[in-house]
Amino acid sequence: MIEIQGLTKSYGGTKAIENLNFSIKKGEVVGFLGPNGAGKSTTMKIITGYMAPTSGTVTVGGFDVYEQPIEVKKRIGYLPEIPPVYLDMYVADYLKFVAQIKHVPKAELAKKVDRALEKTNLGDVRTRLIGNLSKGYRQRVGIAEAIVSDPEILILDEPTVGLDPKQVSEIRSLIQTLAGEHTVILSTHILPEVQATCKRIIIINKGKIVAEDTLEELNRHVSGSSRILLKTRKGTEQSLAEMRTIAGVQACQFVSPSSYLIDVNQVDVTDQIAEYVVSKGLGLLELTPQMNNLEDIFIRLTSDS
Amino acid sequence: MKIIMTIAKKEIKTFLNGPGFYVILSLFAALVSFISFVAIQSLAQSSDAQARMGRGDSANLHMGLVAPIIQLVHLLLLMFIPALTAYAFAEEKKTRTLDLLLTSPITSTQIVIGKLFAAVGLTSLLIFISMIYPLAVHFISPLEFKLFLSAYFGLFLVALVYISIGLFASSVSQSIIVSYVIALVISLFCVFTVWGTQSSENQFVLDVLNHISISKHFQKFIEGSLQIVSFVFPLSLSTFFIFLTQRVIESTRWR
Repeated sequence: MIEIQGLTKSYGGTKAIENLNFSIKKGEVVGFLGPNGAGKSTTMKIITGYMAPTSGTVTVGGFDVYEQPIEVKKRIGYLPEIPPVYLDMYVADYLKFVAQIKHVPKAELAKKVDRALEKTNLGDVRTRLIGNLSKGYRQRVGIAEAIVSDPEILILDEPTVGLDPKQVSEIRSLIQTLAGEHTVILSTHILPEVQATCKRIIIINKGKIVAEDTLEELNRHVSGSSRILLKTRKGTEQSLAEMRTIAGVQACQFVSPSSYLIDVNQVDVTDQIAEYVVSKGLGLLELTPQMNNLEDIFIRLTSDS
Repeated sequence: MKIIMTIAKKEIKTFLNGPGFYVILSLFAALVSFISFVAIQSLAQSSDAQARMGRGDSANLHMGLVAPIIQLVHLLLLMFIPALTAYAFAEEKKTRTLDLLLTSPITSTQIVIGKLFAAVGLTSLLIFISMIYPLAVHFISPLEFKLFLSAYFGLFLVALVYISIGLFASSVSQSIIVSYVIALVISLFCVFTVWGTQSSENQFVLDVLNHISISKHFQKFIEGSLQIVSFVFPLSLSTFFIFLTQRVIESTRWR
């Protein structure tokens, strides 16, 4: 669906992105990850045809972004970093205007606007002036703007910024429902968001791709193991030693008395660990796979020079 | 064309929803009323004096009333049009809504023409307001209607030039105030070249200044002496500025 080859963009002397190559298949949800100023937004702007690359090509659905921008733009719904909303328009009017300039046929206008309003839960503010809405609502109007024409590809630049936790989870599940039919590119530096929504992750740092894989692969690639946090009521040195002998456990250490960090090579070892704790009567309080692995990967990949 | 009208409609709606346009409209109407009142009164006084001296039987309504009014309305438009057009692109750039237009499947020409249509529509409303007093006079004492139309058509053409200049000024800046000042300065330059024609002695310079002076062409329309060049020059000038605006907007794609 999207093919990117040798993409470079320089602003004056500084290179924002350098020789990016990747492709995205139809129906994929791809997370675009990177620290501030890594070149995420620049890459997205080039894909949407907002700006031209210094060199390299982008094709979307077989159309070159620079040669046939109109065809490409018909297929893309884009939410920039700052939602492009007219503060002096009403929510429903705004979405209708967006649908019109995106060539939605007149007969489907009302239906599409209603659908976008419904998906982003904006039904009760449809007759309000956008300028009077809070930041979170404006962000949602921006998301509605991106999906109103029902485009094949959605490019969302930090879609959940400024939303409250409930809205964040709503938007995440919205993105998940869009997957399959739509191709979604999502940029963020909120890691749980990527874990929750994306199948594939592209980590970009200083304008270059430093990693590109599925979440599981990235996990395995970087740490070679997963980590489990275990909390029990009682903890002894002996139990620590015994736990190390369970098949699949690579390392085991105390973080505090009676809570352990266990490195395992497969996640299903949790069964044995739980069984062990229960059989010894240690009092199982908590057994959680450590989900901050992506953060470790991220920091490891983006911090070293 | 559908897209152009969509954009134009949205622009006009935005203006009508906000207070800004009504402020401009009411101030303009107040000034036009004042101008027309003074013009009618001074015409009445001078024709009264002439009648007493026994010279001239009736006042020339066109040159005595319509021409002074339209000259002053022209000056008002010179100042009001940049205020109408300053928002067009500067505001969109500041609030980043231009991103939406530029990532939509529409061309920058459609965006610029849409905004041009909206500005022309709003300006036509201003021009119409300025016609009310002369038209009212027409019911009492008939005007020379062909001359009247020619003068107002000239005003419309000149306004079109100012609109194009205003849109161009708006496209090069992110600040409404800067856009307004740029538009005003370029427009004033177009008008003030007429002063150059009074101070220059070189025949060639004189010819050039005469040709590029908006006021000279406007004067022809007021006098009712229609020449092709007086149509072509304002139209080509405004096409030139619209073209520049389109290039500026398009340039965001490759800059």
